[in-house]
Amino acid sequence: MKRVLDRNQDKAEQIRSLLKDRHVRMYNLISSPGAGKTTLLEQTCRHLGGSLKVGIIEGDVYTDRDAQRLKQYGFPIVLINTEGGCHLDSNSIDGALKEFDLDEMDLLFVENVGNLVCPSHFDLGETAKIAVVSTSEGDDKPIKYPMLFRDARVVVLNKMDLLEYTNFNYDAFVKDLRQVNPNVPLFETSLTRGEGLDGWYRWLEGETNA
Amino acid sequence: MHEVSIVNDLFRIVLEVAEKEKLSRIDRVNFQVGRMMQVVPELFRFAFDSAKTGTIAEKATLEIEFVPVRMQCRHCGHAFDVETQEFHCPRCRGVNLDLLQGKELFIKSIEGE
Ligand SMILES: Nc1nc2c(ncn2[C@@H]2O[C@H](COP(=O)(O)OP(=O)(O)O)[C@@H](O)[C@H]2O)c(=O)[nH]1
Ligand SMILES: [Mg+2]
Ligand SMILES: [Zn+2]
Repeated sequence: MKRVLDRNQDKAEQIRSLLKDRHVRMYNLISSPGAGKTTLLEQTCRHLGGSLKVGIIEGDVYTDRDAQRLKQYGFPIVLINTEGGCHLDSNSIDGALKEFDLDEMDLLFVENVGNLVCPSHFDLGETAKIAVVSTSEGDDKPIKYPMLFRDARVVVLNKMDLLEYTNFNYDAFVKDLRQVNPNVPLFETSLTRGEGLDGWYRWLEGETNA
Repeated sequence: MHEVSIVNDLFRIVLEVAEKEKLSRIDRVNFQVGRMMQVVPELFRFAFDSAKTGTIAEKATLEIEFVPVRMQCRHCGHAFDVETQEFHCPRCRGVNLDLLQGKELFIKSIEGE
């Protein structure tokens, strides 16, 4: 019996121990296209500016617009061109990490390719996976993509400002999420307005002080 | 389309094994995949057929065996297969579950000569 994707796993474990060694935490942001990953990063960079040293690995680029949006916060950004690929892998992260001075870094955020299936199958060596969903998508995401929602250490439900204009069933979403991952912290946000982020910041701070 | 990456890695391993075993032709690859991995068989076969052209596996067939998602309830210890997308214990309705199987990505065997 030979295990497929072992190579990705081995590299991911190497990355995990390297980051642990350097006291860097790495969060892998996974969502459908347009759920709000970049906006979450923008808000988070703005909030953390000054207090923590942040780095960004941007793997969801069709144009360089997302990178432009993030550049203004002054944190180093490394772009990974997946050339149409549907997910990042540990090898590409390994390459990107060489571009950072890890001793000068507290937190790394990875914006994965917009897609709920493929990215959840490739360990990047991250400290935790963060799932982002929005109310303009279906409320059945946790049940449809149990791999991601079981593994996620945080779930962000974004675009709460649009809830009343969509047919997103909030109660059904929470019920399904609790079935798949009973204890995961759920943060309900309107990221463009910067609302609902206190819990997320507290979670991040708790993690960095742990 | 993580199927493509999985197939690419599968091929790397298959060809490595073939070289080690001194196979000159591969006839069949028996692959085992957990349901949790959400592999779409049509996509997987398509990727397999694209990858095999021009290799010693050119004529190989692919056998895919799906492994059900099996969970164990932390509350009452009951183990069960998740058949519908109901992630709770059928005995006590507990939701704190450990995954026993369903994440497999194994090459069970490679046939050839
Ligand atoms: N109404 C509303 N729009 C949002 C919210 N968060 C993000 N958006 C918009 O949704 C679009 C996609 O967001 P983006 O962060 O680029 O998503 P990504 O593809 O996951 O990086 C952008 O036009 C955002 O301005 C929100 O809370 N409410
Ligand atoms: Mg983005
Ligand atoms: Zn039970």
